[in-house]
Amino acid sequence: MFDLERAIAEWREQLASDGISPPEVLDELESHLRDDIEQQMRSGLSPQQAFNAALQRLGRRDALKTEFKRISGRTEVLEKLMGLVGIILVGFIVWMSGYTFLQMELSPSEQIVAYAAVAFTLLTACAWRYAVPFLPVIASRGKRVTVGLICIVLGVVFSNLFCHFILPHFESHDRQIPALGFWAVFPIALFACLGLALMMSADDREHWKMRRA
Amino acid sequence: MIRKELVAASAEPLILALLSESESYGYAILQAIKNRSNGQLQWTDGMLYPVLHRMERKGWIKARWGESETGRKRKYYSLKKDGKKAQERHRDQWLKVHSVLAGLWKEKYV
Repeated sequence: MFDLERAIAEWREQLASDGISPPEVLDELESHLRDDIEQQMRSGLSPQQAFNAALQRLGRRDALKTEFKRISGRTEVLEKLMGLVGIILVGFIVWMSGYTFLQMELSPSEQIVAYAAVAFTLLTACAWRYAVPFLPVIASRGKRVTVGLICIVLGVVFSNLFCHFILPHFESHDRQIPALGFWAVFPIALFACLGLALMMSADDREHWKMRRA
Repeated sequence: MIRKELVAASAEPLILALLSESESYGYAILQAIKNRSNGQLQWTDGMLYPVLHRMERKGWIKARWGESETGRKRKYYSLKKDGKKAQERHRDQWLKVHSVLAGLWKEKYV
C-alpha cells in the first residue's frame, strides 16, 4: 500500500543526501511537491500517481542539485573571502598597534588604555551589524541618508572635541596623551557604524539578514 | 513550444511581472505562467526555485513564510523596490528586441 507521507519523507532524505541540505530549501520544495500532489489528486489521480507525476515535473535531482549549488557556492565563497579579509585586517591592526605601542615605550597601564581603545574600535566595527535589528527603521530615504550622514559627522565632531578639550588635561603626564589619543578614533567608528545602520532600509536589513528574529 | 533558451532568458522578467501584480508562491507562479502562455512556456518546476533564490539574493524580491489555505507552511515572494527597477530595465530591453524584430519582419513580409 502506497504511503504518501513516507514517500515524501524518503524523497526529502534523498535530496538532503544529494547535497541540497538547507532545511529552508527542502521545506520549500516539499511545499511545492505537496501543492502539486493536492492539485493532481483533485483532478482524480491516486496519491501514488500524483506523487510520481509531481516528482517528474519537479525535475531530476542531479539537475536541481547543480542549480542550487551554483547559487549557494558563489555566496559561500564570497562570505569566506570577506571573513578572511576581515580577520587579516583585524590581525594587521592589532599587530600594528602593538608595534606602535612598543616604539612609543608605553608603560603597561598606558598600553592597557591604548589597547582598550583599539579593542573597542574593532569590536564596534565588527559587531555593529548585531545592533542593527534594535535600531528604528526610518521609512523616508531622504531622512535616512540625512540622519546617517549627521551621525557620521557627529563622530568626527566628538573626536575633535575629545582631542581639543579632554586630551589637554593630561598634558602634564608623560606619554598619557598618545595612549589616550587612540580613543579619538572610537567615536568616529561608533557614530559611523550608527550612521550606516540608520541609513539601511527595512529591505536592506532583510537582504543582509539584520532583522530581529 | 518555446525553445528552452528563450524560456530561461524570460524567467526573471516573467517572475518580476507576476510579482508586481501581487505576492505569490512557487507553485502559483508556475501555474500562472503556464495559463497565460497557454502551455507554451514550459518550465521544469524545480528550476524555478534557484531562479527565485538568485533574485532574492540580488535584492529584487523578498520572501516570507506563511500558511496555505490548508495550514501548510508555504513561502511567499513579493517584489522589492529594486525589483521594480529591474522590471523596468527588463521591460525596456524586451520591448527594444520586440520592436527590432517586428520592424524586420514587417519589412520582410509586407
